[in-house]
Amino acid sequence: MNVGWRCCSSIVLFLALQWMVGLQWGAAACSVNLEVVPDTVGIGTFFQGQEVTVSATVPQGVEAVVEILGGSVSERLMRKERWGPLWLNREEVEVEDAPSLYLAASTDPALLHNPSDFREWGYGAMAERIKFHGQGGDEIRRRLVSEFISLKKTQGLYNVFPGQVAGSALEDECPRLRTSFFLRSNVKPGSYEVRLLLTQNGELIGQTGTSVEVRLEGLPALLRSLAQNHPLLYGVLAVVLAMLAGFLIGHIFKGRGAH
Amino acid sequence: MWGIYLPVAGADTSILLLLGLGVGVGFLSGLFGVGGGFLMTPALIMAGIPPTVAAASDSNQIVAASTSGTYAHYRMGNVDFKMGGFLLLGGVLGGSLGVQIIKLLRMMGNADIVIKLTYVLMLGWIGSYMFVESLQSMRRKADAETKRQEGARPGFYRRLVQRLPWKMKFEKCGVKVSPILPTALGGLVGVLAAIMGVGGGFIMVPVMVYLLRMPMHVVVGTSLFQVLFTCINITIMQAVANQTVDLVLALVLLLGSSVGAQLGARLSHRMKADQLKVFLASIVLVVMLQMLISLLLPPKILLVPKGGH
Repeated sequence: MNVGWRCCSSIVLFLALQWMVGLQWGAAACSVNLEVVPDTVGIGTFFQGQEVTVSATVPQGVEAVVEILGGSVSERLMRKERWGPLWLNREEVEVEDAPSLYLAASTDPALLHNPSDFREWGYGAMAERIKFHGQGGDEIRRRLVSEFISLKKTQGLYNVFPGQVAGSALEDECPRLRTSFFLRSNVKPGSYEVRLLLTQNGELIGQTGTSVEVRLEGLPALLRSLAQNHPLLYGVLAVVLAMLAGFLIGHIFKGRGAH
Repeated sequence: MWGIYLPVAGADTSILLLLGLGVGVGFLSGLFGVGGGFLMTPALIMAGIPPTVAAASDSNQIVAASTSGTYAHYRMGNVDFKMGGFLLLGGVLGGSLGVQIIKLLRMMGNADIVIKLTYVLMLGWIGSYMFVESLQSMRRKADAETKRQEGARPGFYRRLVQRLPWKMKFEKCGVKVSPILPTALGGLVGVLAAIMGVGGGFIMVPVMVYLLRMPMHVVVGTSLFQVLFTCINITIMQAVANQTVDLVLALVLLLGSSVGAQLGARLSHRMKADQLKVFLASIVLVVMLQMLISLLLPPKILLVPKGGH
């Protein structure tokens, strides 16, 4: 009886969600059309970061969260501890499954204000996802998550923007949403997932996604490749160029250099 | 605006800031006749460049300044290649050891704390020494200072130097010592230079003057010769072992520092030496204090990247 009721209620819920999301997504009049402009970000010689704009049409009456996520990376961090009068790096912390970049914005500020309220998006999702090795206890883990997010925020790699998704009124038949994120210059080359999450009453009712590519190009690509794949050649090149520059400037000034 | 992407550091920075740092530190370097690396690396760290990249790239840009200087002094006959060769041998061995120490410390996550501590100690020592010495000189106590230095020289050091075997004459310097001494001293400077990412000139010069007793005009040229090859070795070692040399960063810096050094050297002839030394010592001590405070104050965030600061 209980199993049957659960089964029936699941089907009803599924059909309801299909109606709420699928009906309008599937309908020609109001299909979800998630776009990222530009969809490729090139890191060239004078790259100083790049703004990307995400826009989408959504079903009537839903709220939205837009996220940009980098691929999962493992990081080895050090935890500073007091050692006598000095603050030293004392304890290693291994972090897994942390996205290299996490930026999120929402239509309703409440969706991103309190991280512990939601586990499907925002810092709440980060806390669920990120694993720390060599650490025990929920309290320590909570502190590490908080410290980790703070570290990433200072690096400009994590940030949330409550209520920063703008657009036509949600009461419209097919509201058009739009938000922008600034990718700082320290963003790593790679593929970044762009997700649109639709919510109603704080519950996730549907999602879709696309991607944005970040890649090195021109001189930075050449130099990074040389430094990583041919380090000896790169080192010799660095020395030769410096010596040539030294000779050249010495000749120009015909003076004595400092030491 | 005026930003440039640093491919190894993995972030952009202002060209004007780098050129300004280069010209400023190079100017002070040329003005005071000491190396600029001990100022440049902390300045880069303060500008947000990762410490290991700052140290390695600074070594690279010092190659340019020391090339220019060595060439100029060679033409004036101020380079003792024999003495410089032994100092260089020690410097290469010490520099290689220093790079491996940094690599090991990076694996342990303590590279940058060691860089900072080494800076604090070396800057504190050099800054205090210069400050006191130049103040005393300004008070016309040069004779008393000379006597104090003579008296302060540890007896065991003189005895040790005399006992070292294979003494040989270094013609240009006019000294007769065992080659073990310059090799060992060069090695010590090389280790410190690799850890700090500097050419070692500001350590090498007092070592040559006070421990090897070389005449000042030969000290400058020979120090530049030794610093040049030590930095070549460090740059290549850092590129191979740690991949932390940022060529773009080094090139922009060396443009600024080479020009700044020439301008500073020209101005230095018009100013009083002791006042300049007090000014430089003050700068050195301020940099030292800034670093010391950063180690003493509780950090805002307790997690840092491994190999970070």
